[in-house]
Amino acid sequence: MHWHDKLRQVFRDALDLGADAEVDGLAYRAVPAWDSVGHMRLVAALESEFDVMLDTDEVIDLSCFDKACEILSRHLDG
Amino acid sequence: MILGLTAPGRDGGLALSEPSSGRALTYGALAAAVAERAAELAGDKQLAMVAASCGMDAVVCWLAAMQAGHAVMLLPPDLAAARLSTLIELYRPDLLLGWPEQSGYGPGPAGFARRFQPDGGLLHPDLCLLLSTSGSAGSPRMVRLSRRAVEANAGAIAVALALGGEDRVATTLPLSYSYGLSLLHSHLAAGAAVVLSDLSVLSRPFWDLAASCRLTSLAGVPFLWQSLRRLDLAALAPPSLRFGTQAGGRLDPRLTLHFHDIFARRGGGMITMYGQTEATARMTVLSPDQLPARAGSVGRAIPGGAIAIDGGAVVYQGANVMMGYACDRADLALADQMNGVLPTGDLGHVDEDGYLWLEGRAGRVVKVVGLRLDLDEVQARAAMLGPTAALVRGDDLIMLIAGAVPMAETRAAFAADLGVPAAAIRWRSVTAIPLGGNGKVDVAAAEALL
Repeated sequence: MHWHDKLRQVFRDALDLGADAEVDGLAYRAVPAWDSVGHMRLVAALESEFDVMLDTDEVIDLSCFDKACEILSRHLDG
Repeated sequence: MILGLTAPGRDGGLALSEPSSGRALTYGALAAAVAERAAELAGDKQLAMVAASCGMDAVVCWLAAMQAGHAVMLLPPDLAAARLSTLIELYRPDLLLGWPEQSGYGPGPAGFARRFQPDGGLLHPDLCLLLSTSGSAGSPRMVRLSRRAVEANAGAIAVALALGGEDRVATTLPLSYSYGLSLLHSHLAAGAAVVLSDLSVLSRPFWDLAASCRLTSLAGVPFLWQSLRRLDLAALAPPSLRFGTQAGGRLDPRLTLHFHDIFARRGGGMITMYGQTEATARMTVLSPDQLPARAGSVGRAIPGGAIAIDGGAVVYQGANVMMGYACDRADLALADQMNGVLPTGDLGHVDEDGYLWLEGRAGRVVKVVGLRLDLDEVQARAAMLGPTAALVRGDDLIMLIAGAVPMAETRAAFAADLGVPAAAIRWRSVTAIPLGGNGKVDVAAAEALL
């Protein structure tokens, strides 16, 4: 499985969305589930599922799904 | 005028700014705008239901309604439509602000919508403000607050926090929540500035705003401070930001000291507070100069207030105590039922110097992500899903359910009904919910299943 698919699943699990929920266009606070509580759960899930540590800038820049891809690609591909 | 907006020496000082629109009001301009709208709203006392958005126009409107002697019920702007309808049915407000197109209402004064057929139900002359005890308005029960209580608490907080004209705070908590509203009121009472913003503290735009507006303090419930623990706050926070304030539940004293160290290096500190909506907002404040020695205490009673311990339970006395609760319009005619005395339902003790140390709740009322929930009520609401037991672990609400965990849509609807983020509820399937001899959930046995 490409890590983008795994990332989509991490988003669905952390934000308690449905199994088939569309997450690619998701943005922080654009849906009720991605509020500040969901945000910190998402950060924790990204860190544990991908075995990475997000720094302060990455946590506050994690504003949408695309940004999460960008941040993770730095850790995984870089 | 309300909150002393026209107090001498304030005229040219900044009162409100709204970075999203670039608008700002000095105290002189704010007082003039409030007076103008209050004149449009003059007349017999009415009930105004207001969407408490972090916007300048909304704030001016509800201050004007209070100034004109009306009673204002502040509600979350994102309140679910069904819940809003219930509240309108129960309280039959004469004026609405922020919810256009409600049936039975048409254009009214000062930007409010007016009820076509006014209820005419009596409103007690002292009634000024109605707030929900759950930050999310999950229950239709409201706290009735007098103008005297609102003014007394705003003034006392301003004194306890030594707020002055140089202070600037952003609305980092909803204004329909007593803690969030107390930020606005206490800063206005002190001649300080309030930055109206709904940006998340966990997002970069907030920190850009904190720097450009030169915020001097940051307010948050324990969840926010727990979240900030994993960030480098010393690097994020602009040099102007010297104080943190915390209320809305217990914060681990180690975290209080962690943030106190960061702020103390800037000549400020961490301020711990304790309050309830039933006391308008605040009851005690722990001054940063008591740290680290008294880390874990919630401090001393605010000026004009007093704390007593009755059989282990905390009782607060002060001018900021509510008039009582309300469950519908008829209750709004009631006079003060409390006489300035509030049994808080919290347990604690007071040390020899008058500092209060809390030791938990007397009942099953808990805080989940800063929102107050009665676990027995949560279980009652979940009854339609099957036998459940509601428990709390850390900041999560745990729902034990006999049988399968409900579908995501059902879980989302249940969370919305409680007014709690779905992600803050963890569901666990168990074979059976342990019951005690009285037929009620055996909490200890249920806890043992976790």
